[in-house]
Amino acid sequence: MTKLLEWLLGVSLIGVAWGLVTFDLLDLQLPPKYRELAWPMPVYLLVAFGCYSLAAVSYRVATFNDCEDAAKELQAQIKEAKEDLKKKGLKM
Amino acid sequence: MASRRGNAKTGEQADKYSVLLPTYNERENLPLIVWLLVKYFGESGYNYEIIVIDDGSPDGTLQIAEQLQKIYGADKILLRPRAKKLGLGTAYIHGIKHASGNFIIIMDADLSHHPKFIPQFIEKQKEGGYDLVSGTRYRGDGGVYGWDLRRKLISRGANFITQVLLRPGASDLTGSFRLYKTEVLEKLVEQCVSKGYVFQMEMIVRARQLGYTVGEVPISFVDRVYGESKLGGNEIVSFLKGLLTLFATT
Repeated sequence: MTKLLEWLLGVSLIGVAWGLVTFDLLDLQLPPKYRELAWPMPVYLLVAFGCYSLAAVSYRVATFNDCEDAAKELQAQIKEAKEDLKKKGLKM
Repeated sequence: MASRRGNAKTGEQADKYSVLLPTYNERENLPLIVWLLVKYFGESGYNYEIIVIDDGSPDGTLQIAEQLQKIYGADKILLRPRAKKLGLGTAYIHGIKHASGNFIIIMDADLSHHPKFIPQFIEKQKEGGYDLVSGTRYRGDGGVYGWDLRRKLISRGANFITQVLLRPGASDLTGSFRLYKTEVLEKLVEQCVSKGYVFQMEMIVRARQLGYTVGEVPISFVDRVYGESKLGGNEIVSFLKGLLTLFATT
């Protein structure tokens, strides 16, 4: 199953569950509290996911390692390499 | 080909690592990356070869490669040039044909990937028997140098969307510093159809699909050419297109 199909399946299942509870499609006579809670759920979930996404990306950008030492080490090694290669006869 | 790789070599180890270096106008960087590869492979004692796949560089990259071959030996530096600039996927296919190692390392030749991580890749692979080991900039003490806020934001944002949509089980999908078992790389390149960043993503996604195991090693990515290679609107659009295609087809 492709990821797209997995998503569609997941969304459909959640959609059906939501519809059943919110509109009482099976005539289960659920207490009104359940219906009131279920009704705005899709919007709540989308907003929650949006907030999570913003928070996650912001955190990851903020904690993205800056490899200062790696850059310095590379510069030093480049110098070393150039000298060594010259000795070995490389004509740049 | 299989029997060549299966034989125990006269050296201490039967494993041999072929490094594929596709190059285009890397006259300045090629000697440096080769020097570093020789240094770290030499220190670690692993058996290796470096395969330079130059796509007809007008700046004389191939001539520099020939000098390096004289210095380090034609058994260590193999030249397999091509007439003109063809894609990365075909460069890998071309490289694999000439590789005698049972493991293949792919990396950039512009010094953004540092050979010091290769022994770590090798050890990680041995530790878990992984089919492929991927260098990650996003975990552990992996990271980047030379990226401004915009670049970091785009990178993390794109990676986040990719993780949500594809749930790939690897933290860095667009990275191109990896170690593969040769037969695994062969199989994957056969299957992958995308280009550019998405090609690297597709390799990992298909690897997971085929049940291959993926290990990770944090790496530092030192970007010295960022100023020239802009991450513009076009690239972002084609990335998203590629991502959605993978989403719908894998």
